[in-house]
Amino acid sequence: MSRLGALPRTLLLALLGVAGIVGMLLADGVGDAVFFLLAAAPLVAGGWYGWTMRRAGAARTGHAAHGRR
Amino acid sequence: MTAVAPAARAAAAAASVPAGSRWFRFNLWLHRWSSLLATLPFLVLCVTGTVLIFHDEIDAALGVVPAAQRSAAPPRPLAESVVNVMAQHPGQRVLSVGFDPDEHPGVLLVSVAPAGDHGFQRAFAAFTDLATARPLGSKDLDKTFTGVLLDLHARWFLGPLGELVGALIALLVLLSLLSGLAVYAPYVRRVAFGVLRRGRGARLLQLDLHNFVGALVLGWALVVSVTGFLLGFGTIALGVWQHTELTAVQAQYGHAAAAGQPAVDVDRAYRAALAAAPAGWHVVSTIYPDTDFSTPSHYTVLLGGAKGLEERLYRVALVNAATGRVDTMRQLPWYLKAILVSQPLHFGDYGGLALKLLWTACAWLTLFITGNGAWLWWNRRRGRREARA
Repeated sequence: MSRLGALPRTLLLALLGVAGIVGMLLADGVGDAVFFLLAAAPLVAGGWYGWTMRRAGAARTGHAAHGRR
Repeated sequence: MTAVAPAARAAAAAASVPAGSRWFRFNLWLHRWSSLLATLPFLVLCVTGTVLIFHDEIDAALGVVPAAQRSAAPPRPLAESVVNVMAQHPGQRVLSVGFDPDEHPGVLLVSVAPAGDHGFQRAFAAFTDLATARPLGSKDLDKTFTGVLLDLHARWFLGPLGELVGALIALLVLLSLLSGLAVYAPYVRRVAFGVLRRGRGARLLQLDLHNFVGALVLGWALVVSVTGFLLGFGTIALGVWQHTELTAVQAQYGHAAAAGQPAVDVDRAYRAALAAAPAGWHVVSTIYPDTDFSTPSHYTVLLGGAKGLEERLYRVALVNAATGRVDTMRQLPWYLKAILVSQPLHFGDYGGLALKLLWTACAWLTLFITGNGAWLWWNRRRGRREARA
């Protein structure tokens, strides 16, 4: 996914979300759980991106502070 | 995504994207105004919608539908329940009887309206215990807490006309999403997905948040706005069905309606429809003859499948009220199927608590980008005014 641009990534997340939402309505049992994961994928991905970006930002700040010392 | 447009214009210009192209400017304009027009109604829809996601839990806590006593005894005839309800409500008529074994096991919902009414507009619900046929009380479901909220959410307290207002708002949101995507496309060519530019002013951070959160909820928002748009045509679709299919059935199988009680009682109509249904299907509701949703001489029995989509896409059996025969069993037309499928997809109440929580999170994130989009628009206007002064 890292090679995908921002727009294809957005469209892919939207597609996964829609597939999960519709799939949950059609499926039962294990399928229900799988489609729920798909439906939740955009928010999970968002949380993950937010966390990695924050970490990367913190690391940059740390390197800069270390460099100044 | 209200004000991504003006802000995106500046960012797009900086990133050498075709901000001046006609297509881009058209989408910018469409995104700005469709979003701004929908902002306040959308706030109301998000708040009421969030509550309605949990309508089952709220209704249960408020005791809207009384609980039946657990009993191993076989259920009493439906007609006995109906007689007992009518004894409590003289001068009224029964429009339908319905079941919800998942949410309200052992309870029969009897819709009662003033004698002479054919529609459900003035109907209220009377409940009976299926095992004993004893009445459990009655309630006007439109006047409960969630009933009033639904009236606001779906009809803006304006009746069928309000449904069209709701469809218009859903259309505005849909236009806002699609035009927002068109504006977003050139903007993100040079910005990494999920980047939040901190420390470079509130405006850039809010713009990045707007785009990032908007990208995360895009799929959900598309589903909810498309289904909201379709649901706005629910009453019209039912009217079309009444005046086409139901009228055709009446013309084909119609005969003089018997005055007063139908010759065939509701239990026989129930059994006949169930016998004619595919294996595993169950009766959801039985509508009495001579209503807006039945012919003067037929019971309309709604049947639901066991699982998946079949649970939602009812089949309709028209049971002759004079002979007890199923005159015809039909699938609903495509436009009613579309509306029936839209209901769960709009309210997110088909996948348990986990899906309801996901729905709530998406609704509030969408509300956030609506609010911060409006702020971006206002902030830009203020900046321009100050620059001119």
